[in-house]
Amino acid sequence: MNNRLNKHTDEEIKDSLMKQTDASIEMKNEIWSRIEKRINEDNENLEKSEVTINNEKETDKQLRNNEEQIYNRRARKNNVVEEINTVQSRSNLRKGRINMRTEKRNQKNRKRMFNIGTIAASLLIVFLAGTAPGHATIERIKDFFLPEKPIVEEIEGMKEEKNVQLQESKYGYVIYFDETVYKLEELEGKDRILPMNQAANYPEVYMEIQQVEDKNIETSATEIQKELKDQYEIVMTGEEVLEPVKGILLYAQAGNEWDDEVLRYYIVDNTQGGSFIIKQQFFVEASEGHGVRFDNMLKEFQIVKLQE
Amino acid sequence: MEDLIWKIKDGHQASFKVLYDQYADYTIRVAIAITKNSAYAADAVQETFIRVYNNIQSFDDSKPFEPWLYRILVNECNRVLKKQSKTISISDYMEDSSIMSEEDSYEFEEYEDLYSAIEDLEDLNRIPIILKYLRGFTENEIADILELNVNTVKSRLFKGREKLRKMMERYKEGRRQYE
Repeated sequence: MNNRLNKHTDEEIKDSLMKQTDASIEMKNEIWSRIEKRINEDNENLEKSEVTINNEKETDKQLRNNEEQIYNRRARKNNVVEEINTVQSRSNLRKGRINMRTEKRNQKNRKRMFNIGTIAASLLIVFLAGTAPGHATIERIKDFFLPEKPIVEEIEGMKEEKNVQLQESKYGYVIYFDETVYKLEELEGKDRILPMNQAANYPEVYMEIQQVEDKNIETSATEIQKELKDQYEIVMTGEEVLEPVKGILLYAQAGNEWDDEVLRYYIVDNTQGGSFIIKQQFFVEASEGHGVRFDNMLKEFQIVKLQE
Repeated sequence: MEDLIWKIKDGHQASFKVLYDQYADYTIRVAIAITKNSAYAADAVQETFIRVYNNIQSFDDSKPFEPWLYRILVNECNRVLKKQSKTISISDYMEDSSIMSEEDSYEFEEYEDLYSAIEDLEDLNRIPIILKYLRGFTENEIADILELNVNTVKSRLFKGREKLRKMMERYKEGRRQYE
């Protein structure tokens, strides 16, 4: 009897749900049109960004060719200088003319040497930008970081093309972000990157970066992990990561509601026995917005050595 | 199904349309039932299939497709609802408040039919009920979709069903009194 009643209830629930959602048939084609449109738009955007990338590759190729030409010319020039020196020792009569020619070539050579230096420094930066954090003297290398560059960022499945600007910190690093969306505030001993317009009634969102010279990454990570465990309901075990920066990732969440606080830390080796503590604070629903943007910023994070 | 997924992974857009046709009906139904609003449901389903298309490469095809699809769908429905809840207008709020006060006074009259009763269940009970009765998912599959323990799902389904049964009894009783 009870089973029969249950079965009857089950059928009624099912019938009711099916009947009340019959609009699905009419909506099906309209939704597909919207999906198709979005996919086509995304594909077009992707093609455009591929063209940009190909153009950038072409520019890189040209730069490499130029570099090779410079090296070859330099080698040829050195041979010419040696030849001139030999001739110089043989004939004092031709000395003035040869000196003139040498001076001209030296001028050219200095110019070329500058180009070689620029490329070599760029290569050094590219090398430093790899998985291992490296050092460079900020005064010497800051000229080699582009003050602004275009990036393509994917937020909640949508690709956004934008320009990001170089930020040089007095705490020994450089980073890029979109200055129309974020700003950098200097606090005591650390920097805070935060949205230009922090929405009212929303939990606070920011990313703080500080260098702790007297604590290595393990010590810093252990201390922060302990604090998180004391304060937050959900705390992830720390893990080593290679992206967006090489370091230790710590993660904590106050709960699963849309506005529950989320904390994400990256502890990065400063290669001098200390560490960089990067703290991101946002909220559950901002994970795919600010959370992703902060991580994208960190992909461009570079440690630089401050000049004494 | 595996062939279809492979073709989509290879970038075959026509196969994606086949997949959409195969799953659209029930995903739209489930989205309507969860969001209680056709426009929100359309947004959620649209985003779900776009996410499927963009992330199909990361789908592990040794696992069943449907729980993965519905996990994305439920998340998208919740996302749409959260977004809407932030922009709820004063008039909507007033309307909701008046419904609540009437609900206190006239009890069963608010449940015009069973669907209204389902709509009035708490999300904890409502979403498992929708997945079970509308799409016919098993308790294990629902646990997989909602990332819950299977015993939690059993308990939520049981409680949801009991609440519905009581609401229906009250509703039928009320109707009899008015007849």
